[in-house]
Parts: sequence; C-alpha cells; structure tokens
Amino acid sequence: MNVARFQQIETLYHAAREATTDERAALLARADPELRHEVELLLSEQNGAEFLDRPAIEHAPDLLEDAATVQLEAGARLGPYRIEHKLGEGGMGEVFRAIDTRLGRAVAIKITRVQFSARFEREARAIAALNHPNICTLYDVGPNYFVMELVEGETLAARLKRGPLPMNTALSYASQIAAALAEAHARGIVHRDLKPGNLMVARSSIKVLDFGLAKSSHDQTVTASRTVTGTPGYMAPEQREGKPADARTDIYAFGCVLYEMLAGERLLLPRRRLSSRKLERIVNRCLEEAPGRRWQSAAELQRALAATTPASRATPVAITAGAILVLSAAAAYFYLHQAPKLTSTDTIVLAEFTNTTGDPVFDDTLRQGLAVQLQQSPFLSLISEERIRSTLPLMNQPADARLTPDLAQGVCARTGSTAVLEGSIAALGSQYVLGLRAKHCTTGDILADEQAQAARKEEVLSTLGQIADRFRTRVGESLATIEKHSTPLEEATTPSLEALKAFNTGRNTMLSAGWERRLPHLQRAIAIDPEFAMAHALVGFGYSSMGESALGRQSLVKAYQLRSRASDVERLNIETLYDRDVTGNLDRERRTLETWAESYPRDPRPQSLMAGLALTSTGQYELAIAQTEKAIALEAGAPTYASKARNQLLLNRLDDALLTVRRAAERKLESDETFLVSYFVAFLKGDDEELSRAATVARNNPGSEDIVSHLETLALARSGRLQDARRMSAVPVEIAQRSGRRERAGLFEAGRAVWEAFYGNAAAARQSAAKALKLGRGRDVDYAAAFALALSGDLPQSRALAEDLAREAAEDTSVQFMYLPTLRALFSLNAGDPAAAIQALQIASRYDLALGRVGFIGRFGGLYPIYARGLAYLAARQPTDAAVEFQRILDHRSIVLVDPMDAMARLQLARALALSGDTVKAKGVYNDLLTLWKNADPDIRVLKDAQAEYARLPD
Amino acid sequence: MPNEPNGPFGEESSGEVTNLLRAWSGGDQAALDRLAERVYPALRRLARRYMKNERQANTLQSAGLVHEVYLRLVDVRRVEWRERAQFYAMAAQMMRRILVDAARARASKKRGGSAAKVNIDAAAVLSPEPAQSILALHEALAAFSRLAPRQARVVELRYFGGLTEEEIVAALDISPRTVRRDWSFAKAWLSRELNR
Repeated sequence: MNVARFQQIETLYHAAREATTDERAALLARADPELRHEVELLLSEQNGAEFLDRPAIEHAPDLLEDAATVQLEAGARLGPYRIEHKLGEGGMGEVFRAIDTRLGRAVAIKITRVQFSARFEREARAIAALNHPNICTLYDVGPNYFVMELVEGETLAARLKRGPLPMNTALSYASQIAAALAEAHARGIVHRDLKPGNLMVARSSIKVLDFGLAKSSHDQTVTASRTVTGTPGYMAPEQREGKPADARTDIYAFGCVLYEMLAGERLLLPRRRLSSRKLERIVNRCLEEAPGRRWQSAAELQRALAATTPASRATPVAITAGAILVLSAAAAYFYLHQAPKLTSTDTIVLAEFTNTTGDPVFDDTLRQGLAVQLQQSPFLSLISEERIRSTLPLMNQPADARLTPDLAQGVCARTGSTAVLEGSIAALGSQYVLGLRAKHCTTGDILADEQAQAARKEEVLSTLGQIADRFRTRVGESLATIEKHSTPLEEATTPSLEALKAFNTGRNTMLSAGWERRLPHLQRAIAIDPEFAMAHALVGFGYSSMGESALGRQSLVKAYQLRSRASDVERLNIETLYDRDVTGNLDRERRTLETWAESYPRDPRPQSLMAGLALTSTGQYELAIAQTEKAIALEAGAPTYASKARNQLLLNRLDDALLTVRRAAERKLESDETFLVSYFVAFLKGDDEELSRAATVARNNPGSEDIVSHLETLALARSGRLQDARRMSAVPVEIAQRSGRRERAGLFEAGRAVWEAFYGNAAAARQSAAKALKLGRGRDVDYAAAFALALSGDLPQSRALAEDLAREAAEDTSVQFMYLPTLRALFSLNAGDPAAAIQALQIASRYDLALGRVGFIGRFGGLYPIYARGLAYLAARQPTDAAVEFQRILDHRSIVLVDPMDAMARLQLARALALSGDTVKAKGVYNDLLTLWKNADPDIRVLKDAQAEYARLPD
Repeated sequence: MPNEPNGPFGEESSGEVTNLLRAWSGGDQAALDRLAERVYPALRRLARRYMKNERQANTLQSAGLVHEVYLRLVDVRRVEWRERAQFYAMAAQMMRRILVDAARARASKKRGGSAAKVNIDAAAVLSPEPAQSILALHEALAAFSRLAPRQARVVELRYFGGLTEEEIVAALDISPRTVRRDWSFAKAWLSRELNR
C-alpha cells in the first residue's frame, strides 16, 4: 500500500460517504474494481470499532480485576462446566475446553465480548435445534457464553494458511458445508457470517460453527432489523448495504470459501482462474452480484457439486479436435445449471441468430437447422411460427419482423412461454464461433450458455448439431426444476380460488375505469379470505390513490401484518406500499423497490411504482422517466405510461409528454393521469381551445370529474377571479363527498384555504381551513390547512397541527422535508426572525423542486419551500436572494401549473426586483402579473397594491 | 515566581509548568522536555487512581483526566487557547503511552492462566477485552500513521486523550469538518485492520 493509493482510497471514501445514494453508486462504478472493493469494505465498517467511540480511559478500570467476575482458568467452574484449558481465540471471544460434569462429556465454551440480549437467547434456542453431522451442535447458552460440541481439529482458516486444498478435499468439504447450510436453511436459519474462521476441520470432516450472527428467518421481529453484520470480506453485496440476508447470502459466502479452498488465497479482484472449470462455474454462480442469479438454495448447490465427479471435472470445452478455443473474457464464464430448468410443458421461443460474420449464407439457415434439431427432443417444445406471427402485431411489429432477441423476449412474455433461445455466430480468423444461450423469460436466469468452434464453414452445421445435442441432453438430464422463486404475476397467495378470481378481476380491470369500479372486487376477495394479504394491500393502494389516506393506511397495516403469509414478491410489494402510504418513508420504499427489481428483473411493477410517488413527489423526475422506460420495456401497464407522461410534463418536455399520451392511447392504456397531462400541456402552451377540449375529455372520465373542477377552481383563483373560484370550489368538494371520499374533499377545501390566505383574506382562509379539517383529516390536508392558517396569522392552531404532524409522521419524507420546514419557516417569519426561517428551510433544499405528496395528489403545494424562502429573504432585507428564489418558481411553471401560488410568486418577484434596484425587470414582471389579473375581481387588495406599486416605479 | 507548596499529588507549582508551557509554545523545544518531565508523572498518577476506581472529591469524568491534570498544573489565567490546545495534545500522547504500558503489563500477567471473565451475575456488562484492544489498536494506529499522520493524530487525541472536537480543532489547527472526516475514515480503516 503506497501513499498515493491510500490517498485515492481516502478521497473516494469521503466522496462516496457524502454523496447521495445515486451519486455514490455512480462514483463507485467509475472506480477501478480494486479501488471500489477497498472503499466498499471501508464503507461497510461504519458500525464497526464501536469501542473507539468511547475514550480509552473508560476501558481502563477493567484493566484491573473486578470482583463481580470470575476468572476463567484451569479448574474454574462455570455452573456444571469445569474449565480445563484455553483452546484459542475466536472472532468473538475466547474458547475453552471444559467438561460437562453432569454428562461427563467434553465441550467447548466460547466466551463472547458482549452480553447477549433476551432476543438473542431466543434465537439461540432455534440454533440449538439444529442436529447435523456437519453443524457444530449448540448445547447451552448463558448471558455471554455458548456451550458447544467440542471439535478436535483446526479451523479452515488455519489450514488454508498452509496453502490450498487438493481438489478432492475441497470438493468433499464443499459438499459437507452445503449439506450443513441446507439443513439450517430448511429450518429457517441463515448463518450470515460463513467464513473459513467459522469452519472446523477434523480429519476428513468439516463442521460449521458460530451461528452467533445467524438469525431465524421465521422470526419477523428479527428480520426487521437492518444492521450490517458479518465479516466484510465474505459479505454479499446486499449484506454490505444492510439489506436483509437470506439463504442466498450464505451461498455467496460459500462461494468465497470454496474459492479460497481451491485458490489458497482470499477472494480478491481480479479473480484467479481455478484448475477445475466446473468448480469455477459453481463458484461464479455463487458470487453473482444479484441474489436472483445465484444458486437459489443450498440443496441446488449440493446437486451441482455432486455432479462434478472426478471424471468430468476437467472437461475441455473445445469440440473440434485440434482447435484451440479462444474466448473473450466475458464468454469465459459459463453458467451451466446441473439440473435442467425446463419441464415437458415448457415452451421456448427461438430467436434469430445474431450473425456477425458478414456472410449472409448463415442468415436463417442456422435458425432453421437448430429448430429441426431441437424439435427432436421430447422435453422441448418450440413455439410455433404461426403463434409468433400472430403475437408480433400485438407488439406493434409487422407479422414477419425478424425475431431479434428483444422481440423474442416480448413474444415469450406475451405467450407465457418459458425461455428464449438466442444463437450467435461470429468469425474468428478463418474459424467460426457458435454460441447458444437459453434465458428464462421471467427471471432472467441464464439456463444454458454454450459455445463451440468450427474450423471451417462446412463444419458449422454439424457443430451446431453438437451444441444442440448437449443442450437437449442437459435439459433432459435430471428431474429437478427451477426453484420457483419467481411467482408468476397472476398468482397470489390465497387458498381460495374464488378469492383469487375476485382479486384478479379487481386487479385486471382497466385503470381508466377508476378505483370505484375495482375496489368492490378486491373487497369481495377479502370477504372470502380475510387473510389475503395482497388483496388488503391492493385495497390500501387503491384508497391511497383516491386520496383516502386514512382508509388506505388501515388496509395497508393489515396487509403488513399478514405479510409473512405471502410469497416473496408479494411481501416486497406490501412492504413497498406500507412505506409509501403508511410511514411515508420514501427512502426506505425506494430501497425495497430496488431489492424487488433486482430479485425479479422481469417484473415491471417495481420500476413503475418507483416512477410514481417515490420519485415524482421527491422531484427526481429524470430518474422516474428512466424507470418508466425500463418498465415499459417489460411491458408495463397504464400507470407506467401515466407516470412517464407526468414526469415528462414536470420537466417541461411537453411534446414528449404528448407523445407518451398518444402511445398510451394506442395501446388502450389511458388513465386519469394521461387525460390530465393533455390538459396541462394545453395550459402551458396557452392554447385555450385545446384546454377546454382536454377539460371536457377529462371530465368525462368518471375518476377525474372532481379533479378537473378542482383544477379549474385553482386556475380561476390564480387569475384573480375569486368570486368565480369560490363558486366553483364547492363542486369538487361536493363530488368527493358524495362518493364518500372525505379526505379528498378536505384536501380540495384546504386548497381553497390556501389561496384565500395568499390573497390576504384571512377570515375566509380560516373558515375554509376549519371546514377542510372537519371534512377529513390527513397529513396533506393538515399541512395545507396549517399553511393557510400560518399565512393568515392564526399561529396557535397552525402550530398545533404542525406538532401533530411532527409527532405522528416522524418518518414521512414529505412531512419531514417539506411540510414541517415550510411551516416552521412561516412561524419564524411571524415571530420576526427571518434568519431562523432560512435555517429551518435548509433541510428542505434537497427536495426543493419536489412536488411533495400534496402536490402529487392535490396538484398544489409544490415549491412552497422555495416560496417561503423567498419571503424569508425579503424579510431579511436580502431582496436579490429573494428574487432568485421567486424566479426559480417562475422558471418551473411546469411544476407549479395552475397553483395560485404562481401569481403570488410573480408579485413577490416584482417586489424583490424593485427593492434590489432592477426596475426594468420589475416592471416587466408587474406587467405580466397585471395581465394575468386582467379579469380579476376589482376589489382584491393585493391587486390594488400591485397596481399602486407598479405606478410608483421610476421610469 | 514564588514557590508554591506541592499539591496533594505532589505536583509542581503551577507557576513553573505554566512558564514551561508558554516557552514551549513560543518555540522553545528544550522547554518541552522539561515540561514533559513534570506532566507525565502527574498524569500517570492520576490515571492510576482512575484505573483503581478511586474517586476524588472532584469526580473524574471519563474525558477529564487530561483536563484534570491541566487544571492542576497550569495557571489557566496566564495561558491562551492555543497553548492549552498544545498541552492537551501532548497529554493525549502521554495518555496513550500510559495506557499501552498498563495494557502490556496486564497482558504479560495473563500469560500464566487465562484471564477471561465470565459473568455469572447477569447484571454486569462485559466490555471488549480491554488490554488486547488497546494494544492492537496501538499497533494498528502506528501503521496507520505512516500512511495518514494527521488522521492518526486525530485518533490519538480523541481516543487516548478524550479530547472534544473543538479541542482537536485547536490542537491540530484544522477545520471541524476535517476532524470529522478524518475520524470517520480512521475508524473505518482501523476497524477493518483490527478485524482481519
């Protein structure tokens, strides 16, 4: 380690630590692999070395003996155990040999450095139930010690210090470790800290020890923890990030151990080639970054190891005699499942061969030839050409389009086939390299990846035949099928078919039909099966989407409580929605979504959800669009198009947004949102005709009737037509109330309170706020009401609402980063302390351009923190800074849209510009405002003020 | 400076130590040796008492040893913040020596039997085996300081000296941000080294 390298590590460490999650990922990706590895290890040490946090002197008293403790030395007694002598040091503490005087048997006692909690003792009991020849049995547990089976031998770590193991030995140990893991996993216990230091070698057998960090996966309270445990060098990527560990985490560690046994050194980048290709493949699959791509279970791993018999272990890959295979580094990693993944009912889609030889003779012929070969297999069923031809038009492709791997993927998904077969042929000097890859459609797992080389063109077909043979044989070989880790999208966990049918109906009803039509089906499903977690979740999601957060929360909490009954993917869905709509913790929601997307790469829902509230309300519009594109590629539904269009609108990409709306219409995937996007685009373009047309269309859509009236109310208020706005405002409130959506009604009414407050009508604002709160409480309603009250000078009630929010919504991203800072700023301004106001808004600056949930659902409230900051600067007599803030609001019309705050921002901007001496610009802004207000009610005070101020400006 | 009587710890009059401190701070390197000769024994005595759990009338806080010895030996009215900071930095280094020595002595005493402690009484909490932690850290820190001397100083001042962030800022003349970053990085690095 030289100083220059060290400084690189340090620099990257700090940069990564101080960056946002995305920036960090980008920074690490850009670094060279070794540097990245070093820094990641350091970043994962955040919770280590706790003893450094207290000064050394605090440990000092223990340097002397303390009467309350017992010295453990030869002859000492620890309950029924008599200590014989020390065996050594473990990672967590010292290990002694002792005799259990009751049974007369020798045991090992490990003293740990930390006191166990009651919770830990519970877990220990689960571990004690493990009984397997390759697991070091746990006999007893005390406050800070374990009593375990005594294993005479040395740790694998010690053994490996003397060099790598012979192939047979490594394989034997590997099988035994896999057996131990299989047993533990079957009982829901994950080791989480597998490493050579935790493996004990005794002659020909090996035992896994130290389940000290293992946690039972059945215990929900335990898996809720997200602390990082484990030894950095053996930690799977998801563990390093503090995500929950499962069986596949152990498998990753297993891969590290197997590598170390064979290579004789710890896993470093770049990885060394191992002497056995088959074992190398097994190791590589263990070490996949994404858990979904690894061996899915220890049992599967065992079978793979068993298949590497001595004879087949060093199979050369080249087919043709005398040819030397030259493979690219990427192609050198083979992923061969020892067990076939296709059953006789599986169909596969054969894509076109990718032909990079430049010789057209190979176009078509190879595919046909392969089709003939494969059709001879009893186990493989190729999808018919007719089926392909009739599916392509559904994908907006001509029926005779070339079936590229991407299109083949689409066909596979639409037809419910299992895998896509991709072939390739490339030239390598005078020789040809043929490739054949089978990829599972839903999981993305590579089922087979073969390469072979043909010396001459004439040999290509026969070589192809040989690959096909091997592929067929491999598929037909053994009986195990893929562990169904990927639940098909239509399935959901319920024992009742009736409930499932109701659920599917509710789920599959077109989004444009509105939630009112979908909820009854879902509620029926719950009536039939009250424990149907996913149905509860979808009901919750529906209510939340309708703006009924309280009802939504009820259902989501229920779903969350029931989530252990659901499948893996459902659980991720439920956890996502729980964070989205109950806690409001959008950061955690995003992390769950990322796990979901990573574990189920073919599922478009996580990307779609991410592009919704999670990213849009926090102002990450670009990212949201990227997510929608991923989801659309996976054939997502209407909500994805809605999100895409919406985010494009927010970024002022109006034509793109319209295009997306049109695409959605073509695919019959329109929704409330796409109609509204058209409306807003017309608004931004100033196209009044188009605006009223879009409004009509939107209004016709049952789900959007109230929201369109609400938007028109806001637009009227923005233009200063307050009488009209007041009349109009009753409409959405009434419509919402009629359909029992009280919280939604409350939010509409609170919107009125806010613009009344902006226009200085304190009494009207207070009245509206009170009415809103009576109609329906919710975090967004409360915020809007509190805002209106604060602006109208009704501090006590506003403060009370703020305190409630702070207490009840501690994790809610919108509340913590937008609502409370804005309210606190207003309180400080009221108290004459603009500096405190600016300070209070610091925390909001991360989400400055965000809509917040209030903006996402209520279409007003976005950018209010910026507005408040502008006011603070004005009060602090910093008009130039204030102008900057208000100008930002005007620069983002596509986020503010019809919010009356727009008008206020113009007024304040004009004032700020005037105060900072930029009279020319100020005049321009006053002009624009007065134009906006040309039809305003004449008696509005701020209008009169604006006119007077304008007139007073020097020429 | 009139000779003041020795204090209860036998420490020298604060007058002399103060003069030496100011001289050293002014650039007189020879003064440092004489200053150290005065301070080290006092600090060690205090530390021993602390380690033996003897509490004085003015109870010692965990980070207070360095402050305590400073208060006893130096006339604070005559000393500026910069000189105080330097004193603390020196004392922190001394603390390291004192603790490492104690740890070594402890470790060698242990070589006969084993000295692990087991809590049969569930109320007591066992902290990390201290002697070994301190020795291991001392060595890791020495290696670390070859690559990152300033960061290692931060660790020394904070962990061994018990200094606060502001005191470290003053002692090393760096920004608070640097102190925090250095501490974070050093902790991660050392933690990794110690867990190998």
